[in-house]
Amino acid sequence: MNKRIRALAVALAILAVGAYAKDKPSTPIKPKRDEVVFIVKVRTQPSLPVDFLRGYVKESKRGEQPTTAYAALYSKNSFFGYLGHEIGALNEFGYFAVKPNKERTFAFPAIKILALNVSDLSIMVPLNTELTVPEGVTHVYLGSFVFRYSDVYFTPSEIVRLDEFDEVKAELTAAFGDDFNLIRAPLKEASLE
Amino acid sequence: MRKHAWRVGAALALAIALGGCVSAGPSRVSRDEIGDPTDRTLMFGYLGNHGLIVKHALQQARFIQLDPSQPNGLVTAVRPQGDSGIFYLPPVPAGSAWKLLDFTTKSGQTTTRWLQGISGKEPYDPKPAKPGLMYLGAFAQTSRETEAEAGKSYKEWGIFPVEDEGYELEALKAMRSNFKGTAWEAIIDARIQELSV
Repeated sequence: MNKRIRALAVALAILAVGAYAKDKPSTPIKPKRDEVVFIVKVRTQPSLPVDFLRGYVKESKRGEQPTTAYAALYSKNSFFGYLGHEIGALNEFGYFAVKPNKERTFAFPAIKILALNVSDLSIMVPLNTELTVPEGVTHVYLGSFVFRYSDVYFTPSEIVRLDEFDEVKAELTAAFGDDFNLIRAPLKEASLE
Repeated sequence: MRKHAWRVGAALALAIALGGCVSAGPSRVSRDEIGDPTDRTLMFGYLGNHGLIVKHALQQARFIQLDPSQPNGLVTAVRPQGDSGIFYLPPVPAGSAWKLLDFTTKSGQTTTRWLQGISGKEPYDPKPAKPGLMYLGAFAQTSRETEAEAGKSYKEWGIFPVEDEGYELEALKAMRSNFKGTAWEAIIDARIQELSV
C-alpha cells in the first residue's frame, strides 16, 4: 500500500514539474537524441468569432485561454497514434518534437483548432498527409496553414499552405546560430493502408 | 444501525437506477421552453445507434447554436420514448444554426462520449429557416461500406442516413402530449392528419 502511494506521489510530482517546466510552444527548441522538431503555423480566415464563442465557456479559475492549435502528427505505426502536439496560439510558429520510427515516416492527418482552448469547441482542419524525414535533419517546417471557412459552421472552403521558410530559418538562426538542419516538409497525400 | 443497512442499500440502488435513466437525456420539454410557433421552430427526427443486430438510440445528444448574430444556445435532444431513437429539440428561434456537438452511446456498462466539434455542416445539423415544424430525417451512428478506389472498399464508421421507417409520424404522436394545450398542438395534429391519409 505504502509503495503504491509513493509511486502515485512520484507520478504526480513528475506531472506537476512537467507542466511547470514546459516551454511555450512558440519557443524554438532543439531535438533530443533520436527526435525531430516540427514547426508549423496556423491561422483562420476569417478570424474566429471568439466573443460569441466565449458564451459557451464556463468561468474558470485559470482565466481565459487563447485559441490554441494542435497537430495530429505521429511516427507511423506508433501506439500513441492520435496524440495531439500543441502548436500554440494562432499566427505564431509552434515547435514540437516527435520520436521517429526506423523508417522515419510520419503521418500528419490533421490540425485541430480549439477555440479558447476548450475541447468542445474544436475545429478540424483535415490534411491527410504523410512524410519521410531524411537522416540528419533536425528541424522540419511543415508549412503555414490558412484555414478558410465559408459559413457559421466553419465549413472548410479552402486550406492553403503558405511557405514562410525564410522566417522560420531566421528564428532558428537567432536561437541556435547555424547549429540546425532545417528542411521544408516533403508532404504527400497519405496512402491507403 | 445494522437494522437499517438494507434500507441504505436499497436507497443507493434506486439512486443508481434513477441516475442511469436521467443520464440518457430528458423526456420532456418544460413549459417555459415551449415558446411560440410564430417565431420558433420545433425540430424532430430519429437518431439511432445501429449495431450489427441491435438498434439503440443516441443518448445525451446536444446541439449547439453557431450563428454569431443569434443568442448562444445549447439544447439536449428530448427522448419521449426512451431508447426508440425518436427525438425532438426544445423549440428554437427560426433563423438560428445548430450543430450536433456531442452524444453518448452505451454498451454494457461502458458509456462513450462522442465529440463532434463545431466545424463542418453535416446533413443532421439543422438550420431552420422558417418557424413551425421541421422534420430532420432519420440518422444513425453505424458503419457502412465505402468505395475508396476502384475495386477497393472499407468500412466507414460515422453518422449516416438510415431508411426512414415512418419516423416522422411516430415522432409527432410521441411529442403530442408534451405540447398539449399550447399553440403547437394544432400544428402537430394537422401534420399527423396529413401523414395518416
